[in-house]
Amino acid sequence: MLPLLAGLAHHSEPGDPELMAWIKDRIDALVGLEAEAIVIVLGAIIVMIPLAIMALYVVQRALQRRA
Amino acid sequence: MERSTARKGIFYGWFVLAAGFFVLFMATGARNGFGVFIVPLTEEFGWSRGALSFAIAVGWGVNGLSQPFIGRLYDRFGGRAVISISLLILGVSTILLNRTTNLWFLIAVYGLIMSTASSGASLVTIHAVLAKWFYRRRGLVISISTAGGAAGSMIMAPFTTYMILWAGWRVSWVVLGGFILVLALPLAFFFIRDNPSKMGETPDGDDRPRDQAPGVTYDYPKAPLEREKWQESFSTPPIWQMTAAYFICGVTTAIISAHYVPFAIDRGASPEMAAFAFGLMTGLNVVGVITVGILSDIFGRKYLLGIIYATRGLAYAMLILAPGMFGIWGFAVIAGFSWVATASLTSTLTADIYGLRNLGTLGGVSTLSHQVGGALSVLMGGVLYDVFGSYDVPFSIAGSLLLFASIFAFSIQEKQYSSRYQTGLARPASASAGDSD
Repeated sequence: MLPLLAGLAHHSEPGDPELMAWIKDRIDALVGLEAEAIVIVLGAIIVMIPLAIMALYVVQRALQRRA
Repeated sequence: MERSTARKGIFYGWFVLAAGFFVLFMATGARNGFGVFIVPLTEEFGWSRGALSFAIAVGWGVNGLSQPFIGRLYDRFGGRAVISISLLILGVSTILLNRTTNLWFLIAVYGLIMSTASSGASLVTIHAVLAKWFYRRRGLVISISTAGGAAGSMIMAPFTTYMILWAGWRVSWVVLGGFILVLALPLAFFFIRDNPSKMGETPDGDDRPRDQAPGVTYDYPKAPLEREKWQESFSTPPIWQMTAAYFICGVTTAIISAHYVPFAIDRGASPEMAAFAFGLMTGLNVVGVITVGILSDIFGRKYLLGIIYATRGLAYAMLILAPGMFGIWGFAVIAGFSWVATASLTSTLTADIYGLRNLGTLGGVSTLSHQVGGALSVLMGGVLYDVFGSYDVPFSIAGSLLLFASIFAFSIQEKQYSSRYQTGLARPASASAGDSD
């Protein structure tokens, strides 16, 4: 492992390729899905976070206006 | 923007926290995911990993050096402007990486532009914004936002890995940059606000005193060591104590990140087991940082900070002295809880002691010291390994330094200098520092 490629995960330094490869192997072993399926699932999770925040805010504003 | 009925719903500060969490989720995740691109880049262009590590080293240095300057911009122009512009540049530069054809382009875009921009969408700026919105729950909230970065790494790294497999590395850069521009940037621009009183809010969403009319802007009570100029803060002991301890934090996290897996393999662990132990350690970040955040709002900051450094020191002792796998796993579990908790505690303590006026700059200076310590320790680990043929000496040095970090933290006179312990400052009415939006 190259020192400066290390996965510090402390102040957003790049992750270590060996650790990334290991994570991929574990995911493959656990779920056994095609790459595109995993991309869609994880992508949906990522997209859902800001959408959920926005939705919560909009719903709250609507409730406040009604109150 | 007056929100006289705001208190009937969810306190707006929670939306600022949610936005900050997601900004760190995306910004940290995108930078952390760079490791996934190393193999395809080396395969396509025939670059050595040494050449790529040079690009990363430039990025690391630039990111550290730019923190105080970006922090200064934050103090001057406010969090909304700095974070939004940083995300814009970060997103565009991430997309630009899909045009990579030579190493110098990668160094310029990743090492210089992206690394500078990510300083503006970092723990320093997000923590400083949240410190304006929360006072009693400051420790918890800053810790939750910190966990956003760890969560981003956990989700974004596998996402990027499979994205590259599915669509190639060029498309993956575009998708990552697109996520930043389409998801994180609007969220930050829409939700992040620097001044609760301009929203008709008070820190923590507390009720306004009865004799105070809505819409009135109140001055945030000065913290005991709040100074007009940020340089004047360095004539007081706490900033030196915190910065010195944070330097050691950088030393003791970076050396482990770089050399832990090789050390574990030397001890007889398989590469997979070593990677798993390291992954477990980083995964425990989230639990550790949030737990510490909750406790720090109850018991104060400095004791927890001191205990965390001491605990990490014990983990080092276990790593070096405990036999075989016991040391490897013991270290992973114990150190994992302390991994990023120091960042949130240092930010919170700095806000409590020095107030909000120069928080971005002071946080940037502390982070710079952290990054310098990290860079030095990685080099030290490699050099001393070559000299002694083992990691025992560099790890012993790093572990010993934690004793000093712990002493530095314990010796901070929190009750004397923290606004949490000052009569009359316990529940500030509102924040007007960083009055930019």
